[in-house]
Amino acid sequence: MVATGSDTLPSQLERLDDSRIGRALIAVVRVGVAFLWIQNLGWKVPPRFGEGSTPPEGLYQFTRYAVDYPVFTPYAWLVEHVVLPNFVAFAWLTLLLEACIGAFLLVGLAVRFWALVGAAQSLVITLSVLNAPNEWHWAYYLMILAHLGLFAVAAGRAGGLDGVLRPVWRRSTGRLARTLLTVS
Amino acid sequence: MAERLNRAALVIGAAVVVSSLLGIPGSTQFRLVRIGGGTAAVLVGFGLIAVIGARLGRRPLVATAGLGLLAAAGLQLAQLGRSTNWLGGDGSTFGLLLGFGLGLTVLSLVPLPAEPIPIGDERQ
Repeated sequence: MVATGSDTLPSQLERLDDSRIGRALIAVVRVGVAFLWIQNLGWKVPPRFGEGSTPPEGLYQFTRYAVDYPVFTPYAWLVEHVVLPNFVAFAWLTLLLEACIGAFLLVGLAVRFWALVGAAQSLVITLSVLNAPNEWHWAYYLMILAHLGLFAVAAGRAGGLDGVLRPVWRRSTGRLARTLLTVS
Repeated sequence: MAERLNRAALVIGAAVVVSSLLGIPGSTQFRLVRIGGGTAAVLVGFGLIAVIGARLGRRPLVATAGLGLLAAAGLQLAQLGRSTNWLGGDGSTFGLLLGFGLGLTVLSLVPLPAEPIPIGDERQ
């Protein structure tokens, strides 16, 4: 939702807070969520990502939880029959995807797109570990909600590169610039 | 507009330098990123290049810093989980280098418009 002035809002709706402190806090939340992803890249260790260890450990252990403690039967079937037999490929994909989520959120580039990717990845994690022992459900619900919040306020426009570059993209007729305008 | 891009590069360059402190020893919760000696040198070196480039308005210097950080990210990715680890980092180091490298590279490569663009923060 882009609201550039009160004339774009129905008269009964209040504009969201656009104060300096509000924008600064949005940037803090965005960077904080970025570090959530970045820090958790540290325990995803190739080449096996925990596969083959006894007992299972690392990313393999958490992926197995989807089968051992199923949350959603079709997803558990998918993990058992597609993901685990090709685990290392999926583990690399996870590592690269989560690195991109963290990197783009950190500098505030194309944040609306990456916030949605982050919400989707958080949902995947939720479906894997929600029923595992000693897990706090709200940790995963909050991850999803935080990303939806970043999407809703287009958080890259507050202290991020989206805010710096959108005026340039808006003037451009190129396809890449149009796309970046849409996803920022 | 160039001034605005330089200011953004200056902020990111300073953040790159400061981020070398993120590897402070202590509990896992507060050690956000693994910063080895090699990583700290890379962050301080390329961060200072970015700051100098932004202060002087020299975009090639900002590009050098950005591409250097991306190269370091590639090196860290290639050495993840191996006994050879020149930067002394892990996946978190890769993510940090990727983010900063991406940001500085994009800032240095974005084409400057011929006409001035009104300055003002984007609104949500």
